[in-house]
Amino acid sequence: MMRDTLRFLGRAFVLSFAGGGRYRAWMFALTAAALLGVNACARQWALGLATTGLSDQVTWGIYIAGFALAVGTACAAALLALPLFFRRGSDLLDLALLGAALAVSCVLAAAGFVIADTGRPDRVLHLLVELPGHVLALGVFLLLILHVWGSLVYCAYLRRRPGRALYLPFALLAVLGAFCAQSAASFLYVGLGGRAFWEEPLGAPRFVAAACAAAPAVLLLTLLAGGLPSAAGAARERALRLVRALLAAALWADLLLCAGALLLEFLGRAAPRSSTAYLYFGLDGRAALAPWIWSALALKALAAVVLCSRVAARPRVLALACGAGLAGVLLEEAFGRITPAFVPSPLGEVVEYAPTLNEALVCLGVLAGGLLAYSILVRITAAVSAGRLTRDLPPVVSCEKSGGPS
Amino acid sequence: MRSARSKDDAATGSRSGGAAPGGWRGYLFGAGFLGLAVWFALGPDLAGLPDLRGAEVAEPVPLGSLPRAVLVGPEGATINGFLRPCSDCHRLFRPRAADPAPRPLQHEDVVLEHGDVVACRGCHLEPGHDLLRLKDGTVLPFAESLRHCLGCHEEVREDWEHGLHGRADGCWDARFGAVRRLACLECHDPHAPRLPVMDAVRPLPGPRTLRLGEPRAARLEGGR
Amino acid sequence: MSASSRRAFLKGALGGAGGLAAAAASLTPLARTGAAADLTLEKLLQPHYLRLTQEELARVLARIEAEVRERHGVRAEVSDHKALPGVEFAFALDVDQCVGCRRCVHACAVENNSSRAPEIQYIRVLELPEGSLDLEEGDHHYAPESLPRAGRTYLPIQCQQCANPPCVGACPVGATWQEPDGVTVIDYDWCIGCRLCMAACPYWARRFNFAPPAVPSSALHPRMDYLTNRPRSAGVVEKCHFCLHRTRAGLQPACVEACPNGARKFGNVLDPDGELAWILARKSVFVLKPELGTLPRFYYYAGAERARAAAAPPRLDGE
Repeated sequence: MMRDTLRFLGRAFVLSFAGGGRYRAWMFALTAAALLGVNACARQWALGLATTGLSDQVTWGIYIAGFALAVGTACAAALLALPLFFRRGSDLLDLALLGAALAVSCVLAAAGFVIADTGRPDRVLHLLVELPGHVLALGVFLLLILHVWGSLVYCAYLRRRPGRALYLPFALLAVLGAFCAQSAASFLYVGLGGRAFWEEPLGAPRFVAAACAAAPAVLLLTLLAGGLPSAAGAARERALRLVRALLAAALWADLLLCAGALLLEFLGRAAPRSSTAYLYFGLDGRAALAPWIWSALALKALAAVVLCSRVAARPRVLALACGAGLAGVLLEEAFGRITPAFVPSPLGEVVEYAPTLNEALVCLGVLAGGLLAYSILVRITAAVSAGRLTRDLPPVVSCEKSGGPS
Repeated sequence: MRSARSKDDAATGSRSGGAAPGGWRGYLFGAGFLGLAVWFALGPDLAGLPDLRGAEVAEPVPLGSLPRAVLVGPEGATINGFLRPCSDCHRLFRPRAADPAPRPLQHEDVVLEHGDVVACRGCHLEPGHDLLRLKDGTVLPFAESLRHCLGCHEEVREDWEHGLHGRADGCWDARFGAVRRLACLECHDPHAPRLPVMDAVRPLPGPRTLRLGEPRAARLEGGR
Repeated sequence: MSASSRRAFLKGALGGAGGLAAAAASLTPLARTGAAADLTLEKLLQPHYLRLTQEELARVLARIEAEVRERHGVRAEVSDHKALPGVEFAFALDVDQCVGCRRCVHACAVENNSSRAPEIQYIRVLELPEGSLDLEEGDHHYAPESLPRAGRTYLPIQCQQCANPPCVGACPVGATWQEPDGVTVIDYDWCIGCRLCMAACPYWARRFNFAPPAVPSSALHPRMDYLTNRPRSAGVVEKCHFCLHRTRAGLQPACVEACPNGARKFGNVLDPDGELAWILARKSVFVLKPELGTLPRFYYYAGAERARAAAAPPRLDGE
């Protein structure tokens, strides 16, 4: 038993490094990007956060935005994918495994963003001393999802039918945990009374909608890139349709909530709050964020319309729409949710924020690290569920077209 | 471990017909990593640090340099470069009785702008001018000018007595050490008591925090 | 071993070695600046200030003194003044007396060994249209030839030492807390630099060390406290602390001492005969952003009110 497990881990490890040319190129690119991020991070630790575009006026930028979005996406992936386990005889189990893989890698990325954001990363362990409960809860959440994913994958490796008791209770717990974490993440900033921007009634639901759009967008891109070859034919079609519907619904919800928020802000108030006015139209002739937010909204709207039209039947169009939606979500989260709350400052100073190259490289590195983990998990999932990685078969790596989303 | 890997690779290589990992391209990734390592070690600095000079910090300004602390109990007046007790002259010469003189003839340095006190005798006891005279007729020496001022300025009296009006030097509580409240004449010119000190104050340099950009120049003017 | 498997092994080895080399080389910036060399095991394992034993505290203070001596060649005296019993510090500022000369700002920076480059200042003075309290109308960069300008009010803002401080609740590691005398302080050795407290502060009172702070050794103020003006490191947050190293020894804060016309009043709000009690009882006092419920201990008042009223008494006789 123990030897079997170790052998499985060893073969999975080998599998994650070996593969076809495109897979290797993809993994090489991700590793190189992650190393660029590590390099940028080292520079930041050596010279201080002055290497970022942050200032005393704008103290949070894309690191915190990335952290929030990563937590939100992890929860959304768990919330949307794990319930698939509860349907008896579903042929979408692979999709659920993919969702679990996404959740795990998003939690890792979130941790990366937190460490990148702190001024004293050498003291990050103080969090463990002071907030053992929170850190423990996050770890347990991670372990729950890893357990569900791992037990199912390992059973498939052994060609054994997994007992439902082995994973269902844990999946249920993980879903509950994801629900709690999602709520906490969406209200994370609302309590900070000093910043009027975050006291937005629709802020939390908009965040949830954006996160619920990001998770299916990544899953859909994975499916389209052939990351799940097992679900062929009808099953693949069903998976595609489900994820596409989820994505479209989340995008539409996001857009409607955004429209509601804009109406409330610019028509429902005597005067819009300065931060919101700054975000959309600029203040004092300064409008660094306006181009970003408007292109984010345009991308999301485009994606939402295309996803509901017939042209989306063509895989390439679908992939493009999906990418546009994901880019829109990323842009809005990066520039529209955190930074505007700091402009103007509580004393009325308008100091603008734009990420520096070093800061962008760190973000790239963290994202690449998350994608690296995701690609490995997806590759193992795909190999096991396609029957290419089982205990009985000799270890053969096929040269399938591609690994993760490329 | 190693054998498994080479076996995998062998299988891959043979099956993919030398296309991707089979040929020379297989070395590209390793070479790419090595190139990256060289670039990290020797490449350009991408930190993009902003201007870290910050703003000037003025060294502490000793309060003694401010134009004050000169008017406590003048022994007399300086006429033609000589410090004389007032009575030296004013025993003989009296200011014209009904003179509302904002600029007394011999005292070019005195400007009288003290509300409804429009003549010297409003405060100085005639004849002699060496003493001060309160409204109710009490006569005080110059050294007790504080009492003299507070005799009229009832509205400031309470505040001053509680340490509100004007500076207090020393400790914040008498149990730790001396507390000294500055007297009226340490800030005010009794002849023109509107704070003369403050009119000449230039502001010390303003802030220049990181990434401040161009300060929003005089927004108040722009709004008008 | 066949030729093809040898080639494959070579490729794998090259990839692995290259990857490891790149990973190691990516850390060169840390080696170049020697930032990592500053970390000692002792510092990494130092407990939170409130959990330090007497001996540990003494060791930490000695360590800081040694660091100052090594870095600046200055014999500093680092002490740890504790809160005085029966004292709750508060501040009052007479907006009618303030002329916006910024002497307090600079005296504070000198007293507290604040970084000159990049600039860190605890006090920000706003120039507002007379009678306005809309901070967004404020000008932070006024620089006229002489002060005060007619029709303007000057409003110095620093840490308001809230009785209900949002920053303390926001800190995830408890590195900032309220002392028994009401002053919120920071353990610079425990802060992880997440800047949540800065996001939470409605008064923009907190500053972050974005780069290693630079203080000229010649200007270093040698009398230091652990919680106040000892040298800080890059990556931690700091703010006004009512000069606890001075005030807990009975002295006035540096800004009060620097104010040329006594606009700033500092004292024990629990002392019924003190200045603060008098101001709170007699003056119309206001605080900034009262709607947030932060309960600041920094009060503003218009001191010349009564004088103005006396100067222009209401005419009742129809004259």
